[in-house]
Amino acid sequence: MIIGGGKRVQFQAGTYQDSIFTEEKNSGTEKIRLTQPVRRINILLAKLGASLVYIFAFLIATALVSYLLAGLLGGGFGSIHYPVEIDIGYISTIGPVGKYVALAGLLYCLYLLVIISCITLLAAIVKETSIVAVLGIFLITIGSRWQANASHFNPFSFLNFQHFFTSSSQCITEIWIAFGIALGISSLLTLLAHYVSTTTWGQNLSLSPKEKEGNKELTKYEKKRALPLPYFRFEVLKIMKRKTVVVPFILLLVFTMLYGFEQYSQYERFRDSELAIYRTQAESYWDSINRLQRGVAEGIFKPEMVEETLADNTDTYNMYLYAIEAFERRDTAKIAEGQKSIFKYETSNWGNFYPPDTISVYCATQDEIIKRQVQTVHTKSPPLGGLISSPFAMESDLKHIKSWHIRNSQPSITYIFNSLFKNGLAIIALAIFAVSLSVGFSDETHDTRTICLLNTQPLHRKRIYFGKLLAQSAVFISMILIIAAVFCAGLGIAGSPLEKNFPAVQYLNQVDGNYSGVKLWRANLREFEGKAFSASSSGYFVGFTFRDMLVENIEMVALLILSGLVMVAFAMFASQKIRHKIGVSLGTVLIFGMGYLASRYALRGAGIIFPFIWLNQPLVATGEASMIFDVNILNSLVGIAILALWLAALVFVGYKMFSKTGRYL
Amino acid sequence: MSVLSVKDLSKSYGKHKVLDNVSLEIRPGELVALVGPNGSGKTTFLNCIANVINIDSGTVEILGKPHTDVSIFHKYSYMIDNTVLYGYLTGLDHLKFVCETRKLSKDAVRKAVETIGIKNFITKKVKEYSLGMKQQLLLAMAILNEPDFLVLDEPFNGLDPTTIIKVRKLLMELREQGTTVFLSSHNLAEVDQMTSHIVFVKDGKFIVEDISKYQEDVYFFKVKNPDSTIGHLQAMGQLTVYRENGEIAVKTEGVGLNPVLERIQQMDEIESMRKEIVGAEKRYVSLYGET
Repeated sequence: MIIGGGKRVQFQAGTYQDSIFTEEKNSGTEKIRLTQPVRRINILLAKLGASLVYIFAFLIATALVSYLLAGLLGGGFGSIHYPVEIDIGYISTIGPVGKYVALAGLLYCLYLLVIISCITLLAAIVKETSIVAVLGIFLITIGSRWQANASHFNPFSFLNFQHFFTSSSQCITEIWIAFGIALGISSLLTLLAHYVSTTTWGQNLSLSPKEKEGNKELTKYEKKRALPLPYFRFEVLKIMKRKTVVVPFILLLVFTMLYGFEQYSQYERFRDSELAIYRTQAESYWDSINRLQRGVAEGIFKPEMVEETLADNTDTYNMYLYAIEAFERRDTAKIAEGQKSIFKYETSNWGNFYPPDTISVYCATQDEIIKRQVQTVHTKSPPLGGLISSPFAMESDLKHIKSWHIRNSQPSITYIFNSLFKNGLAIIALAIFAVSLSVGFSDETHDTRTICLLNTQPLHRKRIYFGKLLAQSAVFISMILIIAAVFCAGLGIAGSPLEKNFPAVQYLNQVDGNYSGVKLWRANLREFEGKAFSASSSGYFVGFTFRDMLVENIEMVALLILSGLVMVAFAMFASQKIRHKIGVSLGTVLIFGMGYLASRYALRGAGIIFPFIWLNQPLVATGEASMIFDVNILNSLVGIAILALWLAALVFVGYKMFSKTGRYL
Repeated sequence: MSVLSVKDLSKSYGKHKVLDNVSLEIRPGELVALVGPNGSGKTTFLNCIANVINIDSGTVEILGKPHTDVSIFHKYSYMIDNTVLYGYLTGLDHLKFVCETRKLSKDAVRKAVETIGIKNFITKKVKEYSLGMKQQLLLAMAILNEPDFLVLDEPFNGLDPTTIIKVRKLLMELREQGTTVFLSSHNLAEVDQMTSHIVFVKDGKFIVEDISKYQEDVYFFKVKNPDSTIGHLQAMGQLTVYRENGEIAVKTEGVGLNPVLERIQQMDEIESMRKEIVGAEKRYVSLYGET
């Protein structure tokens, strides 16, 4: 619990750390400090120290609360002495859980030290709170992708504690090395930040474009044709001139493009890797067949003794050979057929590791791929690739393979676009847009009173409210659509096929008598693992069907856009009471995040009436949500309708409040 | 018809009553100043009449229409303090916005920019402006629609002497062209030179006064023998004579300067002479005290 809680501090630490530097720069209070008899480096170190104290205080508080909760509600206070087992492919006991927590805590602090130093450097260069916050989130996100490569030289991998805890004695040495390296990197970054903040170019560095000549700009303006909707255009201009909006957008665009190209380019690698595995398997069975045949020829084995094994091995060898030949000829249908046979064969040897429901869905998908004549999915580690996206795979099993970072790859635009949602990138994008865009009226009242400028123009209140709402909504929708369009166009130019009919599994809750497909056990869902399955829940069996992945993608984009619009409308409403910009945007994200957790894990089926569960677009669009909450109507279209209703309600209530309060909020 | 008609206006912040049943009429062509110490309610009053904040009671009419009617802003401008500017936008962005929402011709932007003389910095972002630059931009935005009624909150705040003279001239010109001007200011010297009427705000109430009755000339002389000269001047009668910082201060009280000069020159040698107008400041001190 302590470690889990601690991992979430990193984002808070980043936000706090960047504001501790940039807020002073923006507000001008920095000058007060700089005119005191204190050296710049001491100021920098003091701020760094303050950030660390803040984070340690937070961590200690989390640890104490967790310990108290565990003691009072859990297994008692002696639980800190319980032995802990660290599993990294083999079992290794390192001692009491208290020691594990202390060592993990130390590693975590080292990780944070490096993150804080990175953000300090960013703050010294960029000097804009929200840009640094976004860059910090990117840094942490990208860093987390390197976690798998545990190395002393990669402080991001310190979060992956278990890799360091191979044995109790080695552990101490490992941590000392990590400590030295983290301290070294951090010192280097801090000194660099100090250097940047003292140099003239560092102080003058600005992201603003070059200033234009006044007279020329006036002439240009006079020549331009008059356009309608001046207030709406002004609001759009305001949004687009805020670096806090544009920079995250550009970063997201670049990030998604890089992700897309990486997904596309890895396809051939994954394909080759899968082929290599099949070749190795085929060779191994070929050797086995040869050994058995040699044994029979040399009289070591009696023919009847090995007859069955020989036949089995020959079948298996032929199965791999079939797949290898299909791979070499690039015959998609035969590849899919071969993958299916191998998957069925391999999973039959793994016992309960592969639930039958997972196997059924995988095999049906392969058939559908053949039928729809689209390219096959490859993975570096077959047959595990078929497991990772299945809602029937057990969490306890997935825990092992999650750390192996197994991914599936398919080269089409449709599939890669779909993976943006299923890999959680869409929700990260939504959170980033919500932080930068969902500010409502707080950008007119936070450290400013620009709302008064609007109130002293011949503008009706309705125009002010709806102009702002529409501008924020239009920019959000445009940015999402631009990212989607550039993403798809970029992949298209790179050679990725569209394959809009790639089969997307859609789970069906409560199949009726007319259902002719494979029936799945609802009780086998991961969601119910370790829980008593309620017998009163109607319909033990669920089914599945296939549809074009393009349709699923469109549904997910619609849900994403509508969720974003609801957040914008909520921020418009909340900003009339909360004037602080960060308070409104982060508050909106926090409320929606908490709302999602409440809907998913507490309200469950009842959460359908709130606008939160729809934030997990793949859960809804694939039908998983309807299956796990046993609610037939839980699908994308209902989500779109409910989000539209919430949007209308929030806009209505927000406007009512706006028209009642004073003109100056 | 009054340009501004305020009747029994009250405004409180919590229990603190900032404006207590105040009334005010401003007629076309007048240039009226609103004066009072910090926190007396000047800006609150201007915000109330502009409907930027809600009033507790009373009525406000601007150009014959209720102040809640946003259409009045086509012919009425309110120059608020510089916190209303968007730091990340340029001055030109602000001017374009005001021009377009008020449905003005695009030439109006150039005219206002050239009148105030801000062409060299309108393409800069406002966050890079000095206080004086912001004030000039706000003024340009306020005169963009050639208003019939112009309200300004501390227009001289942060301006350099050259710009103060420029703004003063502009306001006088606007007045000559028929614009009614209502401004709040702490700069009593400017108020003295421009306005005919002053509205003093004291304890939430208004004291409206014709400033001319307080305007009088005081001459300060530096002479070799001040003690005997003071005696001779006092003997002239009608004059108010006193010593201030080693100088002889003389209020001529209708006698005129020439007889005083002649008398001093007969008795003593004038080393230096200067004139001060004591008007609004005198009344201000009498109302609020020196501290």
